[in-house]
Amino acid sequence: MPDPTTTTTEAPVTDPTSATPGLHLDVRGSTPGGATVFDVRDTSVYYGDFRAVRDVNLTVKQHQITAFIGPSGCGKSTMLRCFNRMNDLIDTARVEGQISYHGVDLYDPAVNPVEVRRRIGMVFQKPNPFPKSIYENVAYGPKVAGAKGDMDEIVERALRGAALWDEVKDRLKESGMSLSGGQQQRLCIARAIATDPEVLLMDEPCSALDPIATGRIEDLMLEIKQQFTIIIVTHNMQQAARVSDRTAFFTTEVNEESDHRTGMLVEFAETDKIFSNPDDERTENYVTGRFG
Amino acid sequence: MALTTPAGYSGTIVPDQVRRQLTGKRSDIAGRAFLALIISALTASVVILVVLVYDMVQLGEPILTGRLGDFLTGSLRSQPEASGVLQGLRGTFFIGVFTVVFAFPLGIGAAIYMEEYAHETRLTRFIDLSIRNLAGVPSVVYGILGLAIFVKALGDITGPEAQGRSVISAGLTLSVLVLPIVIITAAEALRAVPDSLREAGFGVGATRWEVTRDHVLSYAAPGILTGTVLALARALGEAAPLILVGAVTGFLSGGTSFSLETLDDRFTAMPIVITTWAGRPGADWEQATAAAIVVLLVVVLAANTFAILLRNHYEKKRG
Amino acid sequence: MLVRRSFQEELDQLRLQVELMGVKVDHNLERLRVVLADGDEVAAAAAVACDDEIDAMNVSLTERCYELLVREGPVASDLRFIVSVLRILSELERIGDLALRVVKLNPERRLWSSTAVTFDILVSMGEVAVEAYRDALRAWSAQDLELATDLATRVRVMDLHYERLTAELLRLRGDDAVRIATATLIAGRSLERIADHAAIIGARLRYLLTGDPDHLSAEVR
Repeated sequence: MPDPTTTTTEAPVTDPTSATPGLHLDVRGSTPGGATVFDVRDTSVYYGDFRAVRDVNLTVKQHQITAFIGPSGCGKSTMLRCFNRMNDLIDTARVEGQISYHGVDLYDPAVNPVEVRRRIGMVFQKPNPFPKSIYENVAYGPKVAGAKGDMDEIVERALRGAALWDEVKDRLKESGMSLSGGQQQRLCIARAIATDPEVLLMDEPCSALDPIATGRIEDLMLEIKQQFTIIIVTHNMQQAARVSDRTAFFTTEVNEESDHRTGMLVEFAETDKIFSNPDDERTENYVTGRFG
Repeated sequence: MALTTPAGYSGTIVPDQVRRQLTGKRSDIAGRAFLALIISALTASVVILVVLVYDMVQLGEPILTGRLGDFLTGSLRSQPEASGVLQGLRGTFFIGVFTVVFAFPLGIGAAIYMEEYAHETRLTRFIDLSIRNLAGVPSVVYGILGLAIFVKALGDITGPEAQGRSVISAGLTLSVLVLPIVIITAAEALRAVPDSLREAGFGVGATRWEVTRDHVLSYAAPGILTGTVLALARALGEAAPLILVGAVTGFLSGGTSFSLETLDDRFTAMPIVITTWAGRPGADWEQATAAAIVVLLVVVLAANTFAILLRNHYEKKRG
Repeated sequence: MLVRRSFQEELDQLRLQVELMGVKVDHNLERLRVVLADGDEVAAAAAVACDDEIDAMNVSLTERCYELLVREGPVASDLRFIVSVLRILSELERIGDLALRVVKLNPERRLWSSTAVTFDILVSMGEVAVEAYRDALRAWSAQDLELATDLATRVRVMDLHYERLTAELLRLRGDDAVRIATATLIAGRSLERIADHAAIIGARLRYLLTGDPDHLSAEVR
């Protein structure tokens, strides 16, 4: 138990039950966050001439869960995919501004996107395991990364990390597609963490799942938060309120000349604030469900 | 009919009325006529095929049951009862080998490049269009192409007798002929691979080649193999290019060996054998022709079956 | 495009119902003043009946709040509103109870109204309590932050009255001194608490309007 008179506000509190008595006890285990992992400055993303999202400024801190919320088309998924250079796969996509990862500009020509994706993993909206065995699904990432060491161990560790080991340990040779939706998504999470990334990007990971499967994945997120830094895009407001430490609210604005909708960041703050007393009226209207 | 009562159901609903409405059939004449039409189309195709095959089998039956061994090992002769298709089989065999060795890798490779690597520009769209057009070019034109390029080029290398009119030229010509088909079907199969699979691969940090090799190709394999089946069948069955490239129609000495040294000699192939014999008068030649047709059919069927088995294997793996 | 219309209507309804309950409490406080002034027995009886209504409203409105929490999953200002309403309902109910406690002292009125000094102080305290409560009710109807903030100051006036009251009570002599003192003290304490609770209503309203969680748990002392 730390001495109450000498606790500094700098030290990240990893075990909430040992927090100084009298401080606001956060049952969710909200961590104040460590170093800055991503620093996004004045970033816009274009598809050809169309600006999908504009002027984003935010930071993502280590060992926190940061949520992106907002109506459809506001650019939150587009923004998410910038962090692991997945937008490269779209010919017309273009990123302007600066996104740095531990100080390194992610879009510097010298940066190899393949290496980026090994350290920054992704879980997609619809579970998409490879049509191969469960074992091969998890082993693939480490294999192409040239991982040395016992592959069986790596696979088991990843499956345990995704809270799936007990359910599949006797059928690792079976196809990944034979699992239920919730299990498939956890398999995808295991696949993503098998390469031992620092960051996990999750693009609406529960939107295709039933409430129980969703609950398990949320529990999982809170467990693995200690090891990873997570950014999650979600439509589900309660989910963002439940799991995230900080929340960024995006919205769309109609571009007068072209009649297109461009996304923009409206407010970025501690989750508690966004859901109890947000600064911006647009945020208030969105979270209370008054305006879509 | 419920739709004629405005604004929903009001008043008491009589069970009998409901039963009548639900079990009554709306006559679907157009639908039923269409179904009848397509069933008859399918039936007609199958029937035609069956009739053709049966006809041929019946016609060539004496040879097929009587002297099959001699027929398969014999060479071209002036008497029908002594003729055999060995030389034809050999030529067709090598043509098949050339197609597999040249057209398939080149075609699949080109399709992979077009679908997985190339950025979409006006140039790539133009190339795509050109390849589609090439698939429709008459086979005779490919024959002329083969004559002008392969025969002439190989004329210097091969012996004075053949002057380039060897099975090499035939194989190359037919490879070029089926190349567009391979490219198009492989490209279609690759396009059908869901993007989510690629994203999953890229997401764990695989390079484009790794994603293509480990995931895209095995997913697209069934489709690609179907394309190769079509291509091979086409290659083995074309006659016009073979004529232009110099397949022998009459008597041919040699041309029976399967050894590679004889590749640059004069040759013949099954389609040519069939067309030649078909032109000769007499019931005996008819018999021989029919038997030869059946043999060719069996060969093509065997090759296709192998490819289909391979395709099924990959389909099962896909889960 | 405004969505969740039925939810918005329910919230508006809830606010009006809280006001309605507040008005009932106000009526009882008026009866309290009348009873203090002349010991009107009809008023006293009416106050008892009205308090039952107030309690019933508290129960039904509290249940409605829980229902809305379950059904609608409110956040931000909606959540603050419902949480504030739950707190304010309990304050209103307490005020009602306290008013009733004073009214129930009516049978012994002859006693504690006989001592002029202390009785005058009681009547003044009654005025202050009723005024404080009326200000709270006004602040709620108008959802006015300024009015809500002013409420805290009234408590000081009450404190002074109470101090004087206890001082005077200690000076009482005579056979009935203890009984007079006990009754007067109960009445005085109740009136003081009514003013406190009115100020607390102000604090909860400030939480609703500003979102500052300090106002949610503030005790007014």
